Amino acid sequence: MNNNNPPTLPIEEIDKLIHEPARLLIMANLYVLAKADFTFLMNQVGLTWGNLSAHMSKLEQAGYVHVEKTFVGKRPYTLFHLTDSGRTAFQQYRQTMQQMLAELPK
Amino acid sequence: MSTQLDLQNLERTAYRATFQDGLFDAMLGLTMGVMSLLSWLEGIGWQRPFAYLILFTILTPIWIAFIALKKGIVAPRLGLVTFAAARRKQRRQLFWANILMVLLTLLMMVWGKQGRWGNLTDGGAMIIAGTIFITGFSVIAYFLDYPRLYLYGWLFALAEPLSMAVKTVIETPFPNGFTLIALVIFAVGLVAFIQFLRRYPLIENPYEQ
Repeated sequence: MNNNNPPTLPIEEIDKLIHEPARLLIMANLYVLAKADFTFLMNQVGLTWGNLSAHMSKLEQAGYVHVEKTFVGKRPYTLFHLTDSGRTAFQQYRQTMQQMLAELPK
Repeated sequence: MSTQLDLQNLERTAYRATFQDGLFDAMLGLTMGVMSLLSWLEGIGWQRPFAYLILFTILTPIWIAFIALKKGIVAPRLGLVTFAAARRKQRRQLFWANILMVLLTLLMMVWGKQGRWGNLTDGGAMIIAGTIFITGFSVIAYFLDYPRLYLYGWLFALAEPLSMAVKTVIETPFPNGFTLIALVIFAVGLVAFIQFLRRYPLIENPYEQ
C-alpha cells in the first residue's frame, strides 16, 4: 500500500447531527432507556435546560426523537423516546465510527 | 458533562440514579427497627397478635410517608424514566425470587416449630438466620443492581451476635443488635437523602408547565 495515499475513511457517512458531543450523549441515553422525561435527561447528561431544549428540538425535527405529553396524577410530563429511525441512525453511527476508527492508520 | 461513552455503564448509572435518594434505606431501617421492638414488647408481656397490631399501626404511616416522599419530593427532582425490557424482566425475576425466599423462610420456620432441626444450638440458629439474611439481601441487591444491600444483608446477619455482645455490656432487652443496625441503616438513608436533595434541586421546567 502506498503511504502517500489518503486513507479511504467513510467520513461523509458520519451523521453530523448525532456526532455533536451533547447530542451524542442524549441519543446514547435514549438508546439505552425506553423513555425519559426532560428533568431525568437533564440530570443524566448534565446540560442546562436551554442547551438540552435546543438539542432536543433538532433531534425532534430530524425525526430521531418522539415527544409524548402525558400526565402522572395531575402533573404534566413530557417524555422523550427514540423513534425507529433514531434508533437505526444511532446504530449506523456506531458502526460507521467503529469502522472508521478501526481503519485509521496507527 | 460526561466524557466517556459506555452504553452499558450509561444504562446502569441511569438505573442506579433511581435508588440513590436514600429513602429506601431509611424506610428499610425504620421497618427493621420497628420490627425489632417485637421481642421487646413480648418481653414486657404483650400478646403477640396485639404486639403485631401495634407494630403495623406504626409501620403503615412510615410506608405511606415513603410513597408520598417518592412521589412528592424525589420524582419532580429526578424526573421520570422507563427502562428497557431487560430491566422489566429483571423486576419480574426479582418478584418470583422474593416469593421463593419467603416460602423457603416459612418452610424453615415450620420445620423449626416441628423440631426437625433437632437440638439446634444458639450458634446454629444464628447461622441459619444469618444465611437467610445474607441470601435474601444479596438476591435483591443483585436484581436491583443496588450494592449497599449486600452490606445490609451482612449487617443483619451480624445483628444477633451483636445483641449478645451488647447484653454482656448492658443488661437490657432494648436496644438490641437489630435496633442498632436498623438505626445505622436509617442514618445512611437520611444522609443519602440530604445528599440527593443537594444534588438534585427542584428545577422549574418550562416543558411541563
